Amino acid sequence: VDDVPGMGTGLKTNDTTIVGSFHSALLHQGLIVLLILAVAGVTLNVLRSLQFRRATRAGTEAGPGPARPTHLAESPARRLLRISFGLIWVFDGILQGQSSMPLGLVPQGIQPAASASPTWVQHVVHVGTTAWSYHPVQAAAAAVWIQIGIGLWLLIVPRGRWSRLGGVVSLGWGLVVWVFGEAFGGIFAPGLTWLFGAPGAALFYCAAGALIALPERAWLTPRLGRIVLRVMGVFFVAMAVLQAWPGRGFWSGRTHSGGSGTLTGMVQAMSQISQPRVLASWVRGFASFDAAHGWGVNLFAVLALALVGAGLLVARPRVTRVAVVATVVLCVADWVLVEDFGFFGGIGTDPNSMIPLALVVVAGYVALVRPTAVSAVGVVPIVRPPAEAGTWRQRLVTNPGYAFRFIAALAALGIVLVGGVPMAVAAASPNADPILATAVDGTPDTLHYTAPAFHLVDQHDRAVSLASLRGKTVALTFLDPVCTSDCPIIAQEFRQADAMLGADADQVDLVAIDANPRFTAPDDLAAFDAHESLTHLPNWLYLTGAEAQLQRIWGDYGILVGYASGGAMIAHSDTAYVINRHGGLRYVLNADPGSDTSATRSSFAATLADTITRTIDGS
Amino acid sequence: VTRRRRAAVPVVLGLALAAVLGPGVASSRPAAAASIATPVPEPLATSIHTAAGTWATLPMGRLNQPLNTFWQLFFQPAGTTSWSDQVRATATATNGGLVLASAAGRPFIAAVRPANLLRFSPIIATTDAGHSWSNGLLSDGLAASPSALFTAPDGQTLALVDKGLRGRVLASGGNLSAWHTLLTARQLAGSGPGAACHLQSLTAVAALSGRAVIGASCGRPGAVGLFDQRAGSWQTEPLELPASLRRGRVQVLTLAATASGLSAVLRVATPAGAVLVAAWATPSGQWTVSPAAPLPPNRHLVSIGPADGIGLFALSATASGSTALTEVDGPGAAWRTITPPPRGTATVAFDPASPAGVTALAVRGTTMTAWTLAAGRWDKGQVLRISLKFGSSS
Repeated sequence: VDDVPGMGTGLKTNDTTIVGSFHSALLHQGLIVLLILAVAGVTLNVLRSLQFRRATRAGTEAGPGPARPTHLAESPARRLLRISFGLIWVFDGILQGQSSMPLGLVPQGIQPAASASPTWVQHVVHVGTTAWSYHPVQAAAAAVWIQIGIGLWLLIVPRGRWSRLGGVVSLGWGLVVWVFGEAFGGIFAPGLTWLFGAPGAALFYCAAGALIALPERAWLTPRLGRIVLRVMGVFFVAMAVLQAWPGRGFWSGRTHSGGSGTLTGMVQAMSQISQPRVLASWVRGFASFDAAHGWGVNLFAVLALALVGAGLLVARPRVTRVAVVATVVLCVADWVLVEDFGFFGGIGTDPNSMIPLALVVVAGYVALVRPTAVSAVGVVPIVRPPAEAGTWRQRLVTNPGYAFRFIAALAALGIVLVGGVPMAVAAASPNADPILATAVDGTPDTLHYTAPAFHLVDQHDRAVSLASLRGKTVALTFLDPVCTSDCPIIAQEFRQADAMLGADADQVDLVAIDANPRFTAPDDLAAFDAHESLTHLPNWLYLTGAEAQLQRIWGDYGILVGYASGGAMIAHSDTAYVINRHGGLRYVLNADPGSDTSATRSSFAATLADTITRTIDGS
Repeated sequence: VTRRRRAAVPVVLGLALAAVLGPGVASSRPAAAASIATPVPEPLATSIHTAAGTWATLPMGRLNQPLNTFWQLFFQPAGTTSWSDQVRATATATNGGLVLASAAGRPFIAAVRPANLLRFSPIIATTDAGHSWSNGLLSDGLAASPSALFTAPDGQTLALVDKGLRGRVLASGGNLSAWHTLLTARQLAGSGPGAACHLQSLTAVAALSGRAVIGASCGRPGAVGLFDQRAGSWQTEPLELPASLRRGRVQVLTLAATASGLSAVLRVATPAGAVLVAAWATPSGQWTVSPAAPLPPNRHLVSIGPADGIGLFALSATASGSTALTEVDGPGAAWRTITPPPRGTATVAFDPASPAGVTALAVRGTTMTAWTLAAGRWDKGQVLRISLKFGSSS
C-alpha cells in the first residue's frame, strides 16, 4: 500500500489547469483590449469628423489641420524617458505572460528575494504574495495588462496632463512592484550591492514615472537635469562606500573554507538559470574571474562607482559627459556579466536595474544640456494656446491633439483596468480561487448512491451512526489521528469550510472516520482534535470503532488504508464525500492537500463549502 | 568657498547613506559563539536489552533531510544473531525519532517523537517480542532525549515532554493513554535545588526505589542536575564530581535502570573541553562516579546506551564519519576504548547473552549492516535493506 492514489500530489508551476486558465484569461482579456482599441479608434474618428465640421462651419477651410506651433513641444529628456520606459513596461508586460508566472513567481521569484530581509519586510511582502497566491490567474493576467497599459500610455500620449497622469500611474504601479515584488529592492537585507540591482529596478521606474509626471515647465531649464545627476551622483558614492564596506564578502572571490565569495556565489547562481548557452558561458567566465581575482574586481567596482558618482556631482560639463558615458558602459557591463540580463529563466519579470538606471542618468544629462522646450518650428514662448482654454468637452471637439491624447489615455487606462478590475474583485474575497483545488484534485464528481451505513463511536465515546445524522448534510472524510502530513491539513480545510458556510453550518455535520488500523481509541481522536483546535467545533464528529468495523467502512467507501514500510505513516486515500440530508451520496472530492499552502487550503475549503451548499440546495 | 561647500553636501549625503546602510547590511557576519551553557542535542540512537531480546533504534534514509530521515526499530530475539525491522508497528511516520523503554516483567515501550504536523507522541508496547502490540499516547510531544521515557518494574512509567523550561514530567500508572503531570521544569527551577543549579532544561527521567529521578541541564558550573522526590519535595541527588570538573557545566544525558540501581551519563563542559562521566547509584542513593572520558571538539555523540548489564557505552563520530567507541564496565571502572566500529555505525548493542556479543549497527542510506566484534576486528554480518518511501512525510 505504498502508493495509495490521492496522497502527496504537488502543484507544479507548469500545471496544465492553471496555465490553461491563465492563457484563457489572457485571450479573453486580449479580446477586450482589442475592443477597447477599436472603440478608441472609432471615437477618435468621430471626434475628428466633429472637429472638421465645426471648423468648416466656422469658415476655416483647412479644417482642424496640423497642430499649430503655439504649444510647448516635449523636451528631449522627457521624451527619452517616456518612450524608453514605455517600451520597458510593454516588455515587462510581455514577460509577465510567461506560463510559469501564476504559480512560479511567488515561490521562485518573490519569496527568495524577500527571505533575506527583516521580518517586517517579509510581513509586508506577504500581503502581496498572499493576494497573488490566492488568485494566481487573475494576478498574473493583471500584471500583464497593467504593465502593457502603462507602457502604451507612456508611448502614445506625448504631453499634457494626460501624459503626466501616465507618469503618475507608472510611479504608483512601480511602487507596488518595488514593495511587494522586490521586497523594497532588498535595501533592508544583508548583501545589498549595486552590482546585483540595489535598490531595485522598480525604484528607477518610479523615478522615471515621477519625472514624467512633473509639470512641463520643470523641463524648461537645466535645473531638473542637474538635480537628477546630483541625486544619482550621491547614489553612486553611497554604493561605492557600501561596496567597499569590509566584512561583507565582496573583497574576496573565495571564502576561507574554499566556498564562493559573495559576488562569485551570486554570479554563479545566475549562470544556473535557463538561458542561451553563450550567455551562461559569459556569466560563468566572469564568476571564475571573480573567484580568482575577487579583490581586484571589487576594487575596480568601488573605484568605478566612486568616480562615476563624483563625476556626476561635479558641475563641469566635460566631466559630467564622461561620467554619463562611463555610467552607461558600467551599467551595460554589469547587466550582461552580473545581472545576466535579468529576464531569462521563465520567471524573469524585467530586464533588471541597469538599463532603467542608465536611462535615468542619460535623461538627466539630456535635461541638463538640452533643456529648452522646442516646438516643431523652433523655440516658443510659454503661452497657453487659446485652444487649450475651455472645458475638456470643448477641447475635445476643438483641439485634435487634445482629443488624441484624451482618447489614447482613456484607452490605456482601459487596458490597465482590464487586468486590474478582475484582480481587485478577486482580491476582495478572503477565499482563494477554487481553481487551485481543481488543479490539485480535479473537480468534485457527482454521485447518486445511498451512502453506506456505519455505526461507530465519536471522540467522546458516544454512539453515532449515519442514520442518526439524517436531516443534516454530511461532509465525510477519513483521517489518521497520528498522521504527520495530510490529515491535519484536511482537518483544517474542513474547519475553514465550516466557517465559510456561515449560517448554513447549522445544517451540516463535519464527520471524519479514523483511517489508522492501530490508533483507534477515542483518546487518540481526542488528542488529534485538541491539537487541531477542533474540540470546540460543535458540528465536528471524529468517529472510530473496532479495526474490523473500520475495515468494512473503508471498503464500502473505497478508501485504501495500509501500513507503509520503513517508518512512513499509514497510507490512506485522501477523499471527501458530501452526503445529503436524506443519506444520499451526492459528491466525491479528492482531498489531497497538495503542496499545502494557505492558498491551497483556502481553495479546497472554498470548493468543499461550495459543494456542501449545492448539496443543501439540491437535497 | 560656498560653492565648494555646496558641492560637498551630496558627497557627505552619500557617505551618510552608506554609513546608515553599512552596519545593517553587514549583519551577515557570524553570530557570537554559542554559550558553553547551551545544552547539546542528545543522540536518540540507542539499544536496550530485554529478556526477549535486544531492541535498537537508529535513523536511516537521507540523514541531512529531516523529512526523509526515517527512524527504524530493530529487534534481535534473544539467543539469535538475526535482526528484523519492527518499525511498521508504530503505524505512523518516525521522522522525529523513537525513544525506547523497558523493565523486567513490563512491556517493551517505544514512543514516537513528533515530526512535521504531528504534535503529540503515539506509543506502542509489546509483551511478546513484537508479535502483538498495544498502543497509547502522550498528549504532548516527547522530548528529544534517549531517556525521555522510563518504565519501572512496578509499572510506573515516566515521560518527559516538551523542551527547555516548558518541559514537563508526566507519570502513568500503567495505562499508556492516561498521564498526569508530576513536575514541570518551571516548578523545579523555582524550587531551592532547581534555583541552585540554574536549571536550563529537563533532560532525562528515571525511577529509583519507587522515587522519580529527574535529570537536567544546569547553568551553574559544577552543579549536577539530578533530582529526586523525597518527603514531598524535590532534592538534589548527592552526586559529587571530581574537583577537576567542578568548573564545568553539567548536562545529564541519560538515566537508565541497572540491576543494582541506576546509571547516568553526564556531559561536563569545562573550559578545557567536554568530557563524559558515568555515574551509578545504589538503591540507597549512594553515587559512584567514573573517571572522565574526553570528548574532543571535532567529535559528536552518536549513541549512548547500556553495555553488559551495568556498564555504559558512548559512540562518537567526526564530521567525516570516523567513529570511536568507549565503554565503562561499571562502578570503579575506567572508560576503555574499543576498536572503532565501521563508518556509519549508528548504535552498538552490548549483549552478553547474545551469541554475537558486541554488534555495531551501521547505516548507509537504506541499508543497515550488522557488524560483530571478534578478536579486535569487526566482521560483517547481516545486511538488511529497508524500503523507505522518500517524500511520504512532506
